[in-house]
Amino acid sequence: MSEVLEVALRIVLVLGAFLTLPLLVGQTEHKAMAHMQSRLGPMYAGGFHGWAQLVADGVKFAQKEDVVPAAADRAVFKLAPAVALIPYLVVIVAIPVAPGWVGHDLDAGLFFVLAVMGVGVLGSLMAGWASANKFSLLGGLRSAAQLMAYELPFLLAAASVAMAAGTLSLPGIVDAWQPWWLLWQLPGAAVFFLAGLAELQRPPFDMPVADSEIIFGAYTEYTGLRFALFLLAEYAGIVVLCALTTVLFLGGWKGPFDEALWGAPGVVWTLAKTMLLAFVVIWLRVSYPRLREDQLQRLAWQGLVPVALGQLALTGVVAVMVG
Amino acid sequence: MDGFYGGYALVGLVLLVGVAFVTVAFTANRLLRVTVPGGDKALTYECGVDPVGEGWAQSHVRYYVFTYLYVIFAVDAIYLFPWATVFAAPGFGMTTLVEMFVFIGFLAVGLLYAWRKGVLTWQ
Amino acid sequence: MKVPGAGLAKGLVVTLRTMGRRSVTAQYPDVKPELPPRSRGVIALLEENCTVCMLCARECPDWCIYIDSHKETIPAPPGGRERQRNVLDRFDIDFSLCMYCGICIEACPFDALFWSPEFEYAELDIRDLTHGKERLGEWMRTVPPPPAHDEHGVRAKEVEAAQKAADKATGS
Repeated sequence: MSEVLEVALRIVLVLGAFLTLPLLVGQTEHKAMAHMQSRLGPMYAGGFHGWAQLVADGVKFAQKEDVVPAAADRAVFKLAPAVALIPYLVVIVAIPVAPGWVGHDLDAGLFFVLAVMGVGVLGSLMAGWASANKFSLLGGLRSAAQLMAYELPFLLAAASVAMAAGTLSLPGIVDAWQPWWLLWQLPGAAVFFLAGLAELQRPPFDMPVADSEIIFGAYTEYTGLRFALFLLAEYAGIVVLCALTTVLFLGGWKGPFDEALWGAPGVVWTLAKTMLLAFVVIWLRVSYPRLREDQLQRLAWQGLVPVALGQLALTGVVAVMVG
Repeated sequence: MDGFYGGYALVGLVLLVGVAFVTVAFTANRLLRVTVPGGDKALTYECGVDPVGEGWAQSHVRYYVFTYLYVIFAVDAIYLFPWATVFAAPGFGMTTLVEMFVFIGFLAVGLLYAWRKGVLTWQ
Repeated sequence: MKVPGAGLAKGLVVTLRTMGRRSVTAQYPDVKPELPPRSRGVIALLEENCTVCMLCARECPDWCIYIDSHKETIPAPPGGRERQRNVLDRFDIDFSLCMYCGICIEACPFDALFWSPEFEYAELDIRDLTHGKERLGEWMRTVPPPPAHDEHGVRAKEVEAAQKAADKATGS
């Protein structure tokens, strides 16, 4: 009985994190981006500085009509938002927030996470194809190109950490992590974070949804709840990417102080690092203009891939020398 | 919920929870929404003018060469992960590392060749 | 020496610094804007000053002022003769046509038209933007007092003449 209860509790916690953290990131984006642009952002919903804006948005989206274009491939069109969203929920299972605090310690956790995150992008490809819209098709093609280019440095950078830690289990990686890895794995961390941003199609890598030229790319034809699910998937993706970067490169639940001296619970450290990275994601969005398609490809193939390969070599040599 | 299959059973459960979440959301939507089908809103969006031709228009996929590169490297990456967990273990050491570097080196030279050939430019 | 990536860092610094500053957003419906007295919000009409000379309607570049009037005879006072004067029946400004050039206000020789900073008169139908003399008269309350004269400036010649007359009467 208690085992069933424990599993239920884990699932509820995973679902809770999945439903609240993206909203937190979204609200932070509303407010931080507004103030970076010398605006105020939402001020009304909920009374105090518009804290309930996204709740209000959710209520609005739930009431909107479900419009499917006549020309669209109906089944694929309707399925696409779920395909984009659910993988991020599943990924959260494998992400540890504190010692023992993990949905499940999968022994091939890193591999599992990378594989499932790749599925999420299929959602935008499906949307781009099924909409039967030229903007959507172009957006979908650009998504595919971007996935192709950035999946590789993403994988290689993650592999570098696996080499350093000698395990694919995410809690195992955090256990093996040492503070000097910050320097050792720095190029890998940068490559992983940037490539992850590009896979999420976040600015400045938002060519597939470039609003000034192809409306909203693959999501042009979407309204109402389906559109909301795509947005939720984007923000869940930010949470997952930031949490993964935290776990792989920033030491997860390990704080800078001796735990006996200043014993902040590991959950606080993991969440703090994740939110800090999420802020960086927002900060990059506000600060930089969109990269052109050829610049995107050049950055991936001539910038990130060589750096990731170099990081692999560095990790291999150092790991063998230390070991 | 122990062991190899136990862990993936939990993953399966969470997947079901995800499907349930989407189902609940759309059931709520069905109860709350207005439905006025037909009209211009079902028309394909093309900046307000009537759509020209069909949406699945022909276009030039400019990145198919990148796709080949990607497939080659992705297969390599899959080999990389199991190797990464054992290469530094006692009994493997330098030899294993050099072997993998030879393997990655071939790919890196391939990338360099593609680069020099001008394949990595978007035209 | 040029550090590579310095431009990227500069961009990040700019946004972060802006986030620390007060935002410039005007909280409009909650906080009314403080508009300068000469703001061109709406044109107000002081009906008593209007003599129906039609100068404003004729000068208006887009013909958005509509004036109707009739003549009224004032009965002769004892020993005098009858006089006629114009009575204003209709003074409409169509604010959907008005381009807020202010030429009517400049043209009015009798100070019957004024700028008011009032701007909240949006309507749901464009035809409701034509306002009559009652509404234009109500806006007179929102016209700010004219700014004080520059004390070092040259005084108006009427004032000079009156001063001279007053000096003559009291003094020498």
